[in-house]
Amino acid sequence: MTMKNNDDILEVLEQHWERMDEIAEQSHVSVVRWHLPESPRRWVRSIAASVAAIAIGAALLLTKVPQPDGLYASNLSHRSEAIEAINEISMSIL
Amino acid sequence: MVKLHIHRERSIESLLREHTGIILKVCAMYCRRSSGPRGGAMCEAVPPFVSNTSGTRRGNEWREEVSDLFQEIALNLVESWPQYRGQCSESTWVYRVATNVAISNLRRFSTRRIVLVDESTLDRLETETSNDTVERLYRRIDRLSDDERQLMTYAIGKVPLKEVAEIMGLTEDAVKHRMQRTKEKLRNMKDDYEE
Repeated sequence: MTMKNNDDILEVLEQHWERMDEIAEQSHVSVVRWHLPESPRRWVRSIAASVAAIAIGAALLLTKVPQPDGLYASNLSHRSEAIEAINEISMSIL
Repeated sequence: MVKLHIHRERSIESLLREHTGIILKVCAMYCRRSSGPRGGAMCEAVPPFVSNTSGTRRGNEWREEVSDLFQEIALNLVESWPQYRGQCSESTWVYRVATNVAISNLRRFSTRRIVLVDESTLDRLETETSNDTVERLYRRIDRLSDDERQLMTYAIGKVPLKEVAEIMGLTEDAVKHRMQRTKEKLRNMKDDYEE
């Protein structure tokens, strides 16, 4: 392609963008409301918090240790194991 | 500095209604031509682009990319709206946010479509950008640096020089000089298939 002068490039693109304005005028853009609370970031944060809560709960269950009284308690010495479990569960949920 | 009157109560719909054109233009500037309407290298015997109904794989990829970027820009506009203080015109602000999103290449919502662009708009956009001369120019623009491409976007979008200088942290003279140099570079660039 040969360009006669600098202005040609801008001219071609400007005309093309004018046509894009016409396309935009006739376009129809819709927003799916139920996916979008007041802030997408807040929405992502709330999902992440839910995932983390489920993961922590599941990890506690997985690392539970039987106690003499017949109940179960999460063993703190299993902390690294719990963190690993939380990570794995979060990743599989996401 | 004269501050513009800002309507704080803007919905995503009204922002999009007003600035769809700018978003589409930035999408056209930044969505990769290698997966564009006509597909790979120009030397390939690629049939002329026909509308999406032909379902060309590369065309579909390009449409997906445009839809993703469109959505990402739209969501960023809504998120950034509270920070807009009217230091520049609204359209300049939209250009700024849109180019920043395009450059940073964020794709947070790629699997979930919240903002939907209708198919006929994508068809028309695809046909428009498949125009031989236009597509060749875009392919050249693809080979510019981020700064150069941003400058070209502002130049074609007729963003005032003063505002471009402010956005890019340059003097007006420097902007003018760089714009001139970029246009020169585009003019002298060989098409990729000629190399």
